[in-house]
Amino acid sequence: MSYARLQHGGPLRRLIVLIGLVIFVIWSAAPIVWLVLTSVLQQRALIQQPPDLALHSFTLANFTTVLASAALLGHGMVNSLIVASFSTSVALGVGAPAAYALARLPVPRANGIAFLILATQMLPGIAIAIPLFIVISRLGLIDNVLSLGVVYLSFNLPIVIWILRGFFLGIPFGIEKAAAVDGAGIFKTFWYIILPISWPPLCASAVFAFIEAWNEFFFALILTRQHAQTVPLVIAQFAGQYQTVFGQLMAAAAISVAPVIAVAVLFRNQIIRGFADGMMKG
Amino acid sequence: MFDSLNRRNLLKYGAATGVGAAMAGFWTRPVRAADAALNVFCPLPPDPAPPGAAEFAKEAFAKWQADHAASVTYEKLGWSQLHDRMATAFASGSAPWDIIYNCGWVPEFQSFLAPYADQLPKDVVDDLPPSSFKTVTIDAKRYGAVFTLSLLTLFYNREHLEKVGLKEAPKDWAEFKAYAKELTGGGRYGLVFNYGDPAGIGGTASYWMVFLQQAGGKMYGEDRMPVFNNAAGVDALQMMVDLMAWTDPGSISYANINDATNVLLSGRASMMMNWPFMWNTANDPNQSQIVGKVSSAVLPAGPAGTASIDGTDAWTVAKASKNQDKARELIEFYLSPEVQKRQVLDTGWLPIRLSVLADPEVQAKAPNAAVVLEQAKHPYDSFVTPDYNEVTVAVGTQVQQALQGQKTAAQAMADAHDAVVAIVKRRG
Repeated sequence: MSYARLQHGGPLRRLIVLIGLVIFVIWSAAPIVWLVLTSVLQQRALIQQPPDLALHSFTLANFTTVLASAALLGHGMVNSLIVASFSTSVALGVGAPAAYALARLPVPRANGIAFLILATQMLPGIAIAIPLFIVISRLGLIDNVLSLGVVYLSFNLPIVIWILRGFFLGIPFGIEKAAAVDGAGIFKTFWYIILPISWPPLCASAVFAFIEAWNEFFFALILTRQHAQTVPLVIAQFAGQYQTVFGQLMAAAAISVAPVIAVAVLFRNQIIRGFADGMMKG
Repeated sequence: MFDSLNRRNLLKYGAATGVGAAMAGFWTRPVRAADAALNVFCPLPPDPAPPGAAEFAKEAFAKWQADHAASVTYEKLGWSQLHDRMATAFASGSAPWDIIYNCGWVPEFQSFLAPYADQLPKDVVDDLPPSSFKTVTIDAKRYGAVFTLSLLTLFYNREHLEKVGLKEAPKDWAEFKAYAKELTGGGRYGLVFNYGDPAGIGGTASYWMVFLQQAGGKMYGEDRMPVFNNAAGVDALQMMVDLMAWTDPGSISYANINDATNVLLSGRASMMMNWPFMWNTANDPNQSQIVGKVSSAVLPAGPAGTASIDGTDAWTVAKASKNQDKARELIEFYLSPEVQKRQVLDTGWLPIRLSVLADPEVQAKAPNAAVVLEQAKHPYDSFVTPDYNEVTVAVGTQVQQALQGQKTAAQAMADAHDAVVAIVKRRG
């Protein structure tokens, strides 16, 4: 059933589509709504079943408490920002030319290389935790945001290469031939022709890489101490062995997801177009 | 400015900035070159944390550092992440800590720890419950000192009991079942547990260990092989299965004790086994709906009497520490009567020193202290081993299956026994 037929179908068909969309939106938004709701409820209201949603149960105390310890959360957010920005920018800077080479240049066994790059993602993180820790420890880079950024680069780069390679494969050859006729070499074609039309997939892969790095927990846990702690670690600290302060946990989470949501909203058109284009071939 | 930005100037400005930064560091850093720098790895409050990391005994802590020419740095982490960071750091041979918090992991990390507790002064050791050393003693060497008496005891909603005409807590298994049955109804359950996570101290297997000891059983024999596939082991599990009829059905999915605690605190259950810290939470109006209604009691006795398990929150010293003596002195400070008293008065974590537990001021502030002290007179073995996590997963999974009616208690015990035998044989 095509989108056009759905759009121009009868009222019943449109109603079904509408209901489907409403269910999808509720399904997708429910965790975020619950997060925000929990962040403004008192603990004693939260533990009731169902939660007590009376007006007197709402409070901003969770946010004031979290903001009172803002040094910790703020420090974590700055660290996350540095780590995510670093790994994203390097992943794009290295990944875009690599993807273009694998898509367009006469690289022997390009498909095999691309698969090998993807295969690196199949290795569970825990399998490389100890060797990675030893290497970074011996380099004296434990508790260093940039070393964490390099580690994140190792799993962001393959994803970026795969998203962009799919897009580059879908670009008509005629565009590059026209550039070649005008005397452009590979580098000029890539820089002046390919990159400008690749804005959507670049944005999509950047946002994807940024979110991956922002949310990562395991490597941040083992490779940091106090100074390089990222946001997920700071949030996890609200959950103790004997006591979990759900309201404060959610207030911290709400504050920390705000930048990610802002980035996603800001680049939403490019993200959608980028992933759609990237899926054309790959 | 940018006009003058050439390589020579850049080097010049860079050197000047470097010298400036170094001088700033020289003038701002306290001149205490002879100080011993101690690095302590501990949980974040409100989990049990030392003075300086938690808000208590801060002046005494500052004085200790000054008197002992030591500067202490705390590396604090959420409790649930402690083990993984320690395991990675130890495995890679680059753990940077002098003092390390441990919770049932001493056998697992024994090769990285120093048996410093053998050198604790006699007056300190004599004032600690002898059994508190059980989980930190390996091959007759003491690798740690427990700093808070944290045993499972029974917490109950006094109002619920009074409503059905019950005046005091259940004393034995028969009463426990009868009370649970009586208290169930009207959308409320007699009991709540957190059976969702099979592993670790406070997991499903450890609850079974409580009942196992109450039934007169134990996990391992003298040859370190499992000896629980017998009447005591089966009776313990059967007791848990029987109680399920009056236990909040969500218990099978509550993975953390916080989830079960919240059920009790909201008045949806009447009794639960919990750790001493719950006393404060239950009486905090911001977190509880049963403020002033909660009481605690010694766990109901089985055929062999009452028994519990130990939270085993202990201080250990890293074998690789270059300041082992100073680290031991700091732990002695943590265990000093003044600090122990402030620990319970200001944070709610019970002391481990018997003299402080008996202090009237402490008992007034923490009315459950006397109950925990009484519970401590009976067995409270957590049966920790180097492969404790693996063992508790194996046992806890079988217990979960029995609780859900997928196996009989006898079958689950037999299967758990076989699994633990295999683990122990691998251990060698």
